[in-house]
Amino acid sequence: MNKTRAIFLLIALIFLNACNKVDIEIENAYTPVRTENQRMFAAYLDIKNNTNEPLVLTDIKSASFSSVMLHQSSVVNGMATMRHLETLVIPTKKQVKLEPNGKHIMLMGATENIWEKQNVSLTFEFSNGSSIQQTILLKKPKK
Amino acid sequence: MRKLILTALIISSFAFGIFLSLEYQKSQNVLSEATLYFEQARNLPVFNALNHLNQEVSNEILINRWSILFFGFTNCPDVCPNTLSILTEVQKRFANKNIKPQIVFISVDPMRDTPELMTNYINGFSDDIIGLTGELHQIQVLTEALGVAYGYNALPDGSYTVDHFSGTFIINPKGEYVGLHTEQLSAADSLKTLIHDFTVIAKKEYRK
Repeated sequence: MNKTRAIFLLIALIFLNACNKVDIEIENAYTPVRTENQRMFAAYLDIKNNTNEPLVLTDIKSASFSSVMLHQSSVVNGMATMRHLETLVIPTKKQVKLEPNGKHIMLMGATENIWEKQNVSLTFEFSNGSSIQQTILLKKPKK
Repeated sequence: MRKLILTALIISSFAFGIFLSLEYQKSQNVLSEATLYFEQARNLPVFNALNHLNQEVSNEILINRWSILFFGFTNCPDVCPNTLSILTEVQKRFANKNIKPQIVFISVDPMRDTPELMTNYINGFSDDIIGLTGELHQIQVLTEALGVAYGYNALPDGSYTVDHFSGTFIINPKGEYVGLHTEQLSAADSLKTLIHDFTVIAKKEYRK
């Protein structure tokens, strides 16, 4: 009897665990904040697609900024360039890194005092209709 | 016979030691591939600009100090702040040394970059940094002299972004252009390289 119960519990746990595995995982999300009067910010993070379909990030919104854009910095022939990205494809079971001097989220037009906050929230919308909300840590200089 | 072998061994190991230390010294004085040094220092033309405190300045700001120049714009959220962070680290490395360079951040977007915006932008990095803006033709005197390419590109929200040369320029305390570091500054590696190359150039200049 006990054995059956243990097996049942184990199966239930495995099942729950599988359900827990979220479709989209965002990690290491942060934004450097350097000065009190800073107007432009860049958010960096790792985004992972756990589903069996490629995911297309189509929009990013935030109540804390009037303008949120996905950008790609790169160096071409010694020139630093920044281009707007309409969408970002996250391949099946793969992670895409948004990092300094590469792909990043540009945040502009703060609607509140960013200097006094610890974090901000971004909402990521995908072409399959799903969306997730993510907290972004505001990294300030150490005093 | 044994004595002879021993003596030979001692002598050859000494010679090897000297060879190694000479090689080490040589490597200490060699620039990385990312940096060019102009033994024949290049004069900068007379330039005028507005500093971040809204004061008219000229070549005198580059006299009696080593300077590292970087061109960018304050609507730049990624590459420019990352570069300024690295330059601030370079500066920290030379704290209390006479070759400690000042950072000069020059706007290639002077139409939007007012002195006030420049102040807000650079303040978070170092307290030993100068922001330069002004009229576009004033900035062009510097971009043309140093061969800095830049261009404007529209963004979907109606604003624009600026593509610009991502290298840094080393100016000696006479206000002359002596070195060009071509690599974009990003990771810890580029910090080390720039610190090394800057030291090598400063040494070469003092030996002249």
